[in-house]
Amino acid sequence: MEEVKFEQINKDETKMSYRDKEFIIRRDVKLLKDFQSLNSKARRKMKFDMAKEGLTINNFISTKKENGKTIEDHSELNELEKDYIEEATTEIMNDSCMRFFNMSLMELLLDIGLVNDSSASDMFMTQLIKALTGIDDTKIPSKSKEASN
Amino acid sequence: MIQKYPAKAKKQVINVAYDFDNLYAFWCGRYRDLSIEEFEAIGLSEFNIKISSIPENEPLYTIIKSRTINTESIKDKEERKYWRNLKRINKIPDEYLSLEEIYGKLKVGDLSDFK
Repeated sequence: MEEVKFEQINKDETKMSYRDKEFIIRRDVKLLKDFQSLNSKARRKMKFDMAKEGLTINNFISTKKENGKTIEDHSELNELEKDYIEEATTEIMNDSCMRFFNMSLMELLLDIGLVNDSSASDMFMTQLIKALTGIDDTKIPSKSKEASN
Repeated sequence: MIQKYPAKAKKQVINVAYDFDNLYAFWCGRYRDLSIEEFEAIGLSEFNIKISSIPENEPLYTIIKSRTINTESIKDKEERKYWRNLKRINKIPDEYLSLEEIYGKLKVGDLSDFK
């Protein structure tokens, strides 16, 4: 595994380097727009795919009667939605990697040598996401609370 | 590796994906006429600074105000009705996530998603 360095150059730019390679990750309006559209893209695609099959979200919601009240069960829909969100997340991460590193995320992990080292790849992903979103893991309230407990 | 994140993250006032057209129109009108590609290439620190000082006469100001205003504190009935309507019209749909929520989603799952 190669050592990967992340160095913040200014408020918007982070330099990522390993071996003799250097990349600049620049947080701009497009990056923010792409990330913020993640969920809506996933849901639109889900509804589009459903429509192609002649289905609606109601086909994935079951109802049952309990004590005279109708209770809706959304778990099947939620599971399906989760799959679409994961797919959209993968797509956005790959697009961002193509944009900044000129390779897919998987190619990048292979190039660094992180594929078979889950703890190192988790650490790398945390740093990469921080460079892309600008959000520091430790500043997320529930995370800090968990750490202090 | 599933981490806990607040169910309700900080309320969004602007969502770049949802408000993109309004933001772009505001930028071109106030600062410089740019192509969409040029606008998308603006660094986030510059973007955040300039977006945090929108003049009152801009339509974007009204949109943001309608999202943040507490309509219950408005005494005048007609004015309250007006702002309630604007609040409903300008509401960011729930499907648009804040950065904190996105971060949570990105952190969930493992790298098998990418294989």
